[in-house]
Amino acid sequence: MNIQEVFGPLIEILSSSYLMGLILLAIPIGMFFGAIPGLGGKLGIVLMIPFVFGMEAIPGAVFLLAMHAVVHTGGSIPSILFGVPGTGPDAATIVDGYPMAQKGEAGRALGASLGASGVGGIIGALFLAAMLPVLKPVVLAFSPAEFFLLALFGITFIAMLSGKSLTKGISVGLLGLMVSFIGLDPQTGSQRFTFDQLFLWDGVSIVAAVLGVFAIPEMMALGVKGGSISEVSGKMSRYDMKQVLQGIGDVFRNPWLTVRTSVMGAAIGAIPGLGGDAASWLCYGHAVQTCKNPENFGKGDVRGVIAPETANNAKEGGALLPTLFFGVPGSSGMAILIGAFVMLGIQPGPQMALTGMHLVWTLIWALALANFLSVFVFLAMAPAFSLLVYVKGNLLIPFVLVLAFLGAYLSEAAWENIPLLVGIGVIGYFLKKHGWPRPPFVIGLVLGPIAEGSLNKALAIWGPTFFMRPLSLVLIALIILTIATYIWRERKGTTSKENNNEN
Amino acid sequence: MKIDTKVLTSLVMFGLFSSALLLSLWLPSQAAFLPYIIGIPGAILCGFQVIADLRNSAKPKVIDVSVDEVPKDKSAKTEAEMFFWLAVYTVLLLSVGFVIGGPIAVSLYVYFGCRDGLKNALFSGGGTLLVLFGIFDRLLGLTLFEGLLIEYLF
Repeated sequence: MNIQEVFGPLIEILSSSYLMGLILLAIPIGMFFGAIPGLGGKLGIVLMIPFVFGMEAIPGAVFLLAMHAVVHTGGSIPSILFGVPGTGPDAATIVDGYPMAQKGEAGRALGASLGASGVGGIIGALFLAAMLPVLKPVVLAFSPAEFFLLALFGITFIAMLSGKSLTKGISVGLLGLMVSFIGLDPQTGSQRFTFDQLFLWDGVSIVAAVLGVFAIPEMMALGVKGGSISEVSGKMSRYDMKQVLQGIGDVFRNPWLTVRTSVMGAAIGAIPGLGGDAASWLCYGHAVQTCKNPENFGKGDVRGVIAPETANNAKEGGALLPTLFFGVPGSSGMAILIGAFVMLGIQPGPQMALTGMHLVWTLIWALALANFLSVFVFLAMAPAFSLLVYVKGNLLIPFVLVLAFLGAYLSEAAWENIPLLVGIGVIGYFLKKHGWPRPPFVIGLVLGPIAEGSLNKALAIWGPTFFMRPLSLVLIALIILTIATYIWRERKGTTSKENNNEN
Repeated sequence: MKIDTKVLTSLVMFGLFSSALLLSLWLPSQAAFLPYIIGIPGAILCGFQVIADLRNSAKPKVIDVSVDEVPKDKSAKTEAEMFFWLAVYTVLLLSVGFVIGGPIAVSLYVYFGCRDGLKNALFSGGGTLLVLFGIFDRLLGLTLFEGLLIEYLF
């Protein structure tokens, strides 16, 4: 690793008004999607996909990553001011952020969340950078057999964590894999599930499928629910800028907590499927366990805002590790980001460690810069963002639907993707309605070609005993452990419910 | 035993895996290998889910009389209405394309779907036209779909 390789991309970004402009544009957009409860980063990426068509790979990737990186920064606004989480992982911020707002310290809580998000995001990016020298030999040690098992592990893990039912989660993940098999078979060249449709020869467009499974069901559900997107009815807490600056100062008055929870968040993010909820709640729990006066937590302690907020943003850096180098998304948001990257001509996977380091460093710096600059954008626009929770859903639905249709069409410039989008959207709506988790579908769809290619190679090299390699056995053990943990957790939950009923 | 949308969803999932397995029978063995590996457990899991949902639907439901039903927002639509609007969007965009169909679809939704004023509907349609034509067509230089009907007629 040389200095030119590390800092060259940073200088390129800083000296390019185009790239800096894209980052500055992406920040308010990302915060917008975070600040409106119910939208979130996943929908943000899928709706921004049409806008990055025609862009070159690096500007497009920088724009999408910068937008995705600051979603949770915006998500803390409704959590603190209204007690309604902007995104799932922001729920942990409510525990202390909302009581602070009720005590008249809304500005301090917002400042702490802002400072923590910025510092956490930068530490997350540095974590990713620090892991690169270690990661390269690990990635290169993985054979096709391990990549196949890693794909299965990713699906199992995300299926377990993204819904209440493992059966439903794994089924949806397997459906994603099955859909990824549509197209010409890479081994024989024969058509597989294409029904003689030329547009399906290259497989189902990931972008159309992701838009179908996320954007259409969300808009349908929003239309059925009606009203404003969140269920906020009260007035928001007032605050002033002096308090916000005091909150930012609180982050630096608790340096060890900030660093610890940032590193923990980044490490959790690096484990495929664990996601933001786990990162923020685990770091909140860590803060309660390790800080002095733990009895103050839950009553409006600023440390209860710092811990989850650093973790939320730091996890994005960690999640990029498996996403970029193994092609295994660190989270459902990263799964969608992979789809967008593929569309831009970026192919995540082990070859990234050999030939794509310029892109990797560009993304690391873009992540760090987006988090740093988000502090200033937040300070300028926080009052406007806080009003977004009152946005009427009806106003968004017609535009979002047009963008979803447009994204599906543009992904391959094929009109056939429009009926495909609607078909997947209708199925996606009923999956959402009846508690079938949708992120495993995206993971399955993205990992399908990697799994198939790796399995074919592994069988050709080692035959049916390919899984007897030591590293493969470790991955098989991890898959079994994941399922066993789920079953144990479910049984424990059922037993404690029965005990409660008896009492 | 009642077949509701919950059971139907599980049945559709089961059907998707079963159909894929059935279609794999006509594929060369190498091409059918992974669809079998994935499809068989998928069909089994969905089969279990269908049974579980059917059992649950047969159980008598406990209605909590202590909780009053939350009144729905005035702007809330039924599922059928939302499916109707999805169909309207699909037909319009497929037939007359994005630049013409997009603004019409948005205006129709705002006027009839949201029961908003004509002024707002036209304003929304104009905004959509500006984004589609101004940003995507002119600024980004992307070729937007012109619609099957327009292509057929001209």
